[in-house]
Amino acid sequence: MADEQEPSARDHEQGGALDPGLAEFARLWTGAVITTSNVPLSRKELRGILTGFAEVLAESLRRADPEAVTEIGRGLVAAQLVGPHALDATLRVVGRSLPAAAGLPQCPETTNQVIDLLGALSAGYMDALREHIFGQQETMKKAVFRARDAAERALRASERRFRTLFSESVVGIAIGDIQGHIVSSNLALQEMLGYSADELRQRTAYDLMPAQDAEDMAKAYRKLINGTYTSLRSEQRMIRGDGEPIWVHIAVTLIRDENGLADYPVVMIEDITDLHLLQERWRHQTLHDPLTGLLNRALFLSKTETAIGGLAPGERVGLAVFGVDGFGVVNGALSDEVGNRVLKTIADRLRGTVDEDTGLLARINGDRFGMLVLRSSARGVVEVAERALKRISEPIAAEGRQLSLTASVGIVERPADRAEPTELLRDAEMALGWAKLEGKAQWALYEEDRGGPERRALELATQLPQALVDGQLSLEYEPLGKLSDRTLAGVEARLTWEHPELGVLGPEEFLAAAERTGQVGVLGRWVVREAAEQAAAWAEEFGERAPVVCIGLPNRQSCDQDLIRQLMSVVDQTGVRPELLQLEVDQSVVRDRDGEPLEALSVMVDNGFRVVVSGVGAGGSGPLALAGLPVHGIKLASGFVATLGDGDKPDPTAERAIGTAVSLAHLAELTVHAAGVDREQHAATLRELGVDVGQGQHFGPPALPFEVEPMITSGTVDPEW
Amino acid sequence: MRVNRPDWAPRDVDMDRASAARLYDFFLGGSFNFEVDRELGRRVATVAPAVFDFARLNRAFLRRAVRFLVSQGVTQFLDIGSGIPTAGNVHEVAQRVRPGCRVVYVDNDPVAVAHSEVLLAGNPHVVAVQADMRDPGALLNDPGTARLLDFSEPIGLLMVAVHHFLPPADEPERLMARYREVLPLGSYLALSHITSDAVAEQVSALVELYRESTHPVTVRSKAEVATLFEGFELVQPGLVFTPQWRPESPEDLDEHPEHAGVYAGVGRKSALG
Ligand SMILES: C[S@@+](CC[C@H](N)C(=O)[O-])C[C@H]1O[C@@H](n2cnc3c(N)ncnc32)[C@H](O)[C@@H]1O
Repeated sequence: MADEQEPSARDHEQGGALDPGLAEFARLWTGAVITTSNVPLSRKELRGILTGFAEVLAESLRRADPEAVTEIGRGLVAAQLVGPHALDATLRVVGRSLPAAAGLPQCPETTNQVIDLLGALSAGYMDALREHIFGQQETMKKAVFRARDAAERALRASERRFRTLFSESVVGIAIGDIQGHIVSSNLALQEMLGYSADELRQRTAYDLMPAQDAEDMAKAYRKLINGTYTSLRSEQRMIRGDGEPIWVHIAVTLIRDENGLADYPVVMIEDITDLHLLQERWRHQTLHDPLTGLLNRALFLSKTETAIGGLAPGERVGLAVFGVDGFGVVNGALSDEVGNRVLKTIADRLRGTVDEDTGLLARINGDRFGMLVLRSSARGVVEVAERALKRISEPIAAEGRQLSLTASVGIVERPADRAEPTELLRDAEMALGWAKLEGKAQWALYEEDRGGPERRALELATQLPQALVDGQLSLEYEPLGKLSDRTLAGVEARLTWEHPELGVLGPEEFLAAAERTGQVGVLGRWVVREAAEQAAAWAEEFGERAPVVCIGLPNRQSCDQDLIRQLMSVVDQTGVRPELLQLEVDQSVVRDRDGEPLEALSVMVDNGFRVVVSGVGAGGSGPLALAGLPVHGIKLASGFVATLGDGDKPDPTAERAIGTAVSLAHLAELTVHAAGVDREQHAATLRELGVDVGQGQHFGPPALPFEVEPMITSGTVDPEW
Repeated sequence: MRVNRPDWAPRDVDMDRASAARLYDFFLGGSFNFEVDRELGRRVATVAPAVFDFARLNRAFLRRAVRFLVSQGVTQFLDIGSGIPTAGNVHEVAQRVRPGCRVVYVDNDPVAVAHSEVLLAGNPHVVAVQADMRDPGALLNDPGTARLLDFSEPIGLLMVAVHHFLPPADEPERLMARYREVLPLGSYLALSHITSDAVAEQVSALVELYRESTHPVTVRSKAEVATLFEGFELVQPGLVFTPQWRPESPEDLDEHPEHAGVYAGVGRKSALG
């Protein structure tokens, strides 16, 4: 079959110059994407193309220059890698394997570059994908009209065909008059825009767009009518009947009469909000704050880490967090535009106060800005911060008025070898809280022993060992129910502490402190043993019906080398079957510093335990974060569930975000749990989104073992007593 | 002149039911399909999840077969049951290896043909014809076919994943004799066909659901499919499951080629049939 050799692949094979690491990477990449699309290429051809791409990627990674990468994103679409999972698969392979293949060391610096690269890659991809979709839309449209045209010869059949095409298309279609009134619309369009056909008839297309977009559209439309443009496409916002903005592609075709005069427009509209959101998320995760151009929180943290890593022993760092005093009031009383103006101005003024070489700036969130000062002294940082406060308090001109605003600042300053970025940020934010308590325009320096509630937690942590001995700690079991029918799906062990002076305490009051003081190891071991014993007892009594017992592993313990040994010895001693224990690891610790899944995860899985990633959606975890983890399921954080809101209808953005997480998980064949399901409404929404198991008030409070038993017997979380 | 209107006369466009062409497009991840198609498609996928592989691997066979034929000197193709054009169409594949290759696309689904016409507009070497393979006379005498194909030179006759839409009553073997007759010596037939020799449960669930479409399915055994090649000499490796037919890379073959659900083969007309 030598005659079937493809030129592109052959070139690479004979060229022989290709680095073996990259060749292997290209092979992996090809394998990952070839089944995601109806790729009209042979594996060899595809590998040839991807090898070329891999060289570009590796080169731009080495040069830390993600620009050329945008083109690669577009190239993927050109190679027809447009199936629903092609991008995901690509990001995963590139993220995991490219750095090593390109011969780069594993370090935070590399990680940053990879993040930039993935961002640029997906931006280019999305861009091209949009055009691709447009092309398809266009063809569809032409086919619709051709079908109708052809049918004009056999009128009745065609009318019906056109109507069916019109009414069944997933693309929204409207037929208008020359002035832009909507004469008729299809169901897809009505649903997309949230108006009935009648309501649409009373509007022009412009009524459904934000003012600026409407103006641009009207301008372009006039050019279409007078013949300057032959067709018109735009990507823009429209406003739904319920006020919710959506992103759409619009394609307008003008139908002309026999004399070539404009007769009426046909408009095709496609909702691309999800595409847009996905892209926004990438942009957000990978690049800068769009408003101020400063780093965003994630990038700030990772750059801070890199910067600290580059310091010599004995050098110090300072981190300050600025918050605008009463910003909520400004924003509420004036307009969003004024608020944005203020934030931009403050960002510019902060830029003027840091030295590019020794400092970093970021917009942490809302009105909070972070500033990192390297090779600092406490005095030095305070001086910089004071200077910045002064600059911020100069009047700001916005919408014809002069605003006088102040800011407060929390500062932390310590030796580089004790500085961990998230801790720095947290401590500085705590100090900012103190500064604000002291009044406006203040600064406060973080002091270790000043955290009031912190100190209490630390005190509690020190009392823990004795409390254990005295039997003040016990486990309760929170029922987990299937969302579909409230079948009992397991129980989650929950630590409670009956404190002699403070009453009953939940784990949230002392666990974090225990993590920091190292008590958590002992405590964790105790919980694991206690829960395993209970699971074994239930297995003995109820056999097949015995519930799975979930155990949330404290973060420290998850990374602990001893964990596995300890789990196995508990299994040995209690005789519990490992599959009856579900170990939950928080999403923040499922990967090590190099982004590799914790080795402990696969060891736990291999030993038969069920493993679930918890806290999903609580921050940070983009689509890549959970991909490819060797686990059985994920658990959505209660905070994530709470974003659905208190209304009768779930918040649509939250719904979409959760829906995405669920489908990603289901794609990876992971079960999806949800914590904090307190409301009936939330349960209904989650059920619809495909979440499998829930826990929270809707399924009943934590219960003692004897209260759990009737649930086991009856198999549901609503036992008959 | 025909007096009766045979049942293969161009049907009225039937949009109330799913069509084979649009279902196939759906399984290949395309977006040229309607809610009726997607609805049925999703149900098929639930009971026969392998259908996505059936489609993708069949499409890949089509591509390899076309390349092979071009390598054997074939420059003109008659693609019967061509479906909705997606990336990797016959003319793209053929013309990439050898510019100037000519292709006649034939389908009996008017929407598929309308789509082809739109995509092919302006390509002088390619034409789309609406005709039914059960009416070889009309199909072969269509002005499009007549204009593009030269019946004194070898032709690549592609009948990929179509015969299973013909029930036994349509006598596919007899139809094949008719097509073979008009093909010049040295012509090739590339053909594939769904079977229930493997993954039988999924296939029969699929057959059950396709009853609701405009194109009910008939499955055939390997021996039955082989009879369609009568008068053609099968080239290596003979009649096999799609992934086994001249794979381009060992990685394309997994342990279970039979999970591809579709037999495929290429035959050459080497003597007067
Ligand atoms: C599964 S598709 C195959 C498409 C393409 N040959 C491939 O393998 O990629 C089958 C096509 O055959 C068409 N078809 C079915 N019965 C037919 C007939 N009697 N005459 C012409 N085309 C037919 C259908 O409309 C559909 O487009």
